[in-house]
Amino acid sequence: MSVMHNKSKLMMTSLLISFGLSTTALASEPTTASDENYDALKSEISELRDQIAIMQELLKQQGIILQDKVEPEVSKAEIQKLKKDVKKIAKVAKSAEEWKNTNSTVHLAGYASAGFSKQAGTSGSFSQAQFSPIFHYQYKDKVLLESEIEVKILEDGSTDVGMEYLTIDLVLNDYMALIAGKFISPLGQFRQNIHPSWINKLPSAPAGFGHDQAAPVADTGVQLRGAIPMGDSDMRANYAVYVANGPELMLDGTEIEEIATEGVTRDQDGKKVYGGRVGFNPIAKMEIGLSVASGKAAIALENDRSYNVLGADFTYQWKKLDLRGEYIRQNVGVLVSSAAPESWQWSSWYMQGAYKLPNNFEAVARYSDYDSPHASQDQRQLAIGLNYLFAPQVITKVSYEFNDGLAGTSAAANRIRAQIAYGF
Amino acid sequence: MRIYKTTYFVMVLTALAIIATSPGIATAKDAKPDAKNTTEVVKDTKGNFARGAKLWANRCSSCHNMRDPKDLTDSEWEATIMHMRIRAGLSGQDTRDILVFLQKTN
Ligand code: HEC
Repeated sequence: MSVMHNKSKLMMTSLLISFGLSTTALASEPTTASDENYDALKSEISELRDQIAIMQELLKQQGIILQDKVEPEVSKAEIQKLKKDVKKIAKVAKSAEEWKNTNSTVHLAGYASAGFSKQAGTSGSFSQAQFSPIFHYQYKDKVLLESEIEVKILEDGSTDVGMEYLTIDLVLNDYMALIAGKFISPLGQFRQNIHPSWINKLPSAPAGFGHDQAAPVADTGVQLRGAIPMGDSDMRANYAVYVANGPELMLDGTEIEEIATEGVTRDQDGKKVYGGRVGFNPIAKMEIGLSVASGKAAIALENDRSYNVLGADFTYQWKKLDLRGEYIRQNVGVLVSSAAPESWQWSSWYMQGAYKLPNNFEAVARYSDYDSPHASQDQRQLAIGLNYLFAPQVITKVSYEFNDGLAGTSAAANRIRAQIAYGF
Repeated sequence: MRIYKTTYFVMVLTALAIIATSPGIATAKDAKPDAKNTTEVVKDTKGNFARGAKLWANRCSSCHNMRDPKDLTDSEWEATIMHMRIRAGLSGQDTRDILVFLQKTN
């Protein structure tokens, strides 16, 4: 384009020169050969010569400019190389597009934590190193396989590997998915929503919300989960209903020592547990949940007895404040023929408030009260903590637990804890 | 007795599944009855950015700290939002809306 432009400029200039020359020539009248005329002619010619020189100089300059503007000659090899490069880039672009639009997606998520704890009167130890990768394999927006593997170091240095959950989730429609496998108990909120260490604002679970305590941890079976249609409203509601093998009861002498809810794949009592939770969001950033479950449970080799769960939970965020609380209760009924014939109940509740402070600090306080059938396990706990958030999912925590329980038991000992947790 | 109860529960689950999958009930189309083009009109298969932004702000901080859209790539968000859909009981439409928002702002 600029070459063309310069060419036409050049043509114009030469036209002007020839025109200028001819007009000058015509204007002069070389008719008389007088001296005066001769002199005039002479000076005119020298003037013209000067003009031509100027014009030539101008032309020369134009030429230089032209030469500069002309793209340097491109060799065939270079063109060939360029073509190759373009092909390569096109291929990369295409593969990126293909990758973006694949039917299947593989994704690795999860969390890890390292912790320290010190019980009053002891020297304390670096007590936790845990890695919990979560594998996601997704097919379109129809299927999700989710599995969390929990790998942790035990007190003696050995490694414990557990399958926290594995489910294949089939999306049936916009409001329902079928979930099959071993899942985190859908009852209540702590176990299914809060227990991962990067989410939990304190290094420990509330009293009664640990393994084999008041809150059911996991189960193996099937679930239906999803949203409850709410029309055009800003309110939301969700549900989860399930049928699963249910818990097992551990006998110790004439007492039920604990209720194990780890999601076994056998059903000792031969009868299933049915239950579910409904969550309701009346306004943004608030959820209220109600959970119930019912079925049978048994001590190995004994007859089955009734098993019931009842729970209520809430969560609310307001500005920098995060509030949540939960009550959960599991009980098993009377069985006269049992070695532990009475009815047994495990219940607990907690309330927690967390406040985001300036500079990524966060203060937390939680009160929990666990009531088990065994006085030695009962615990009332006030935990206060200070967190620093390196990122929303990378959190360092320091906490102090004031524990109240049966004198002399570990449930009654106060504790300092510290933890670094990373969700990825 | 035990068989009855199981059968009963399975029947209830099946009925729920059938009801929820039937096109007459599945979407919010009843809210906007458009005689010609019902499902397409209401079921926005691509997702809506503005709705997604609002839902993200309202729904994504109730269990854990809000995650930055920039934390993940488009495809990672796909799997993560599917994960959250199941965990939090989000509707398909809310999921699509939030996904569009996250993929456009990451
Ligand atoms: C009902 C509680 C709940 C709500 C609401 C929720 N999340 Fe989550 N989210 C979780 C839990 C629990 C995990 C950890 C999963 C695990 O460890 O099994 C998680 C994990 C994540 C992760 C880490 C990656 C992964 O897949 O584990 C991201 C990112 C995330 N959520 C984003 C979101 C976004 C965006 C929203 C809003 C749509 C959202 N969450 C709403 C409970 C929730």
